[in-house]
Amino acid sequence: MTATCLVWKLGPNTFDRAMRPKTIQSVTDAQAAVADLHPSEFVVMKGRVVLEITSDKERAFAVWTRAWADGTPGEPIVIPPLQERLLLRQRLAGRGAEPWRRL
Amino acid sequence: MILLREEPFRVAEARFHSGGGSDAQGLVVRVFVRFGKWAERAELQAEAFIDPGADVTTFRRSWFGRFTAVASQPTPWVSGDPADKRGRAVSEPFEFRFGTGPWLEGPVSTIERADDRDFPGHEDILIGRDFLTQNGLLLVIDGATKTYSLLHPGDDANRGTRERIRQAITDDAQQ
Repeated sequence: MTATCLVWKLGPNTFDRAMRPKTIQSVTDAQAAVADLHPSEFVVMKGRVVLEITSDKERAFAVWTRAWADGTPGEPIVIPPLQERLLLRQRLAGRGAEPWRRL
Repeated sequence: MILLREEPFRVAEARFHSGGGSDAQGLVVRVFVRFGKWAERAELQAEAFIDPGADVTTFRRSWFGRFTAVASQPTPWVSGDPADKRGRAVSEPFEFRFGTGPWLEGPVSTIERADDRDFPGHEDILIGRDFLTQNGLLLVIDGATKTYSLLHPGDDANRGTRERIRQAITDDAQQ
């Protein structure tokens, strides 16, 4: 798509650049780095911007809810404390994680 | 109380993928879902696949998108590890209801999948073993008639059924 835009001048390549996997990966890396510094708290982020770091779950999700409508691009994320994140990973087993069995 | 009485095996009515085969019959049922806050606690309808082989109950994210008219935000509360692409935790409490039965609390281990390609099957929700065990439900699958039932434990008749089955298994094991 980027190459097509450059050759045929179908549009600005800023859109393509924003969608590059490398960019997405670097955002998740940045979010993970912030969360790792606060392993016992809820971290609320939108892209690279830290919106809230708190141990209050209700407060974290109140900020997350407001972030959907603040007009800035991107999707907000609540990163739970490390203990809950590990729990989620361990439980992601079974048929629900094996879509090829039914698709 | 019987939540589902001899429902036939069937396929989901809601199709998100082309080429879904009609032979992919399963324990598919229409359920009502109600979140703690999201969508103003409206009773939302969904096609669900009851999958005793799945560890965790899973929502398809695109299903949430159907309720933009009643919801002020795209999804209920979800949280996740940015490095984990397999799903995010549904952090908002919710309940399921089958037909005219009672509301049953959803499991805290529930996840949502943002990518439809990762979702197993064509349904909106995959109801996993976590929900069945949390509510002590008895799932009876009759392969001969291709029907299934879901029984709630808060009923003498159901407890009797469960005891008869367990007794029969015990008797067989002793012979």
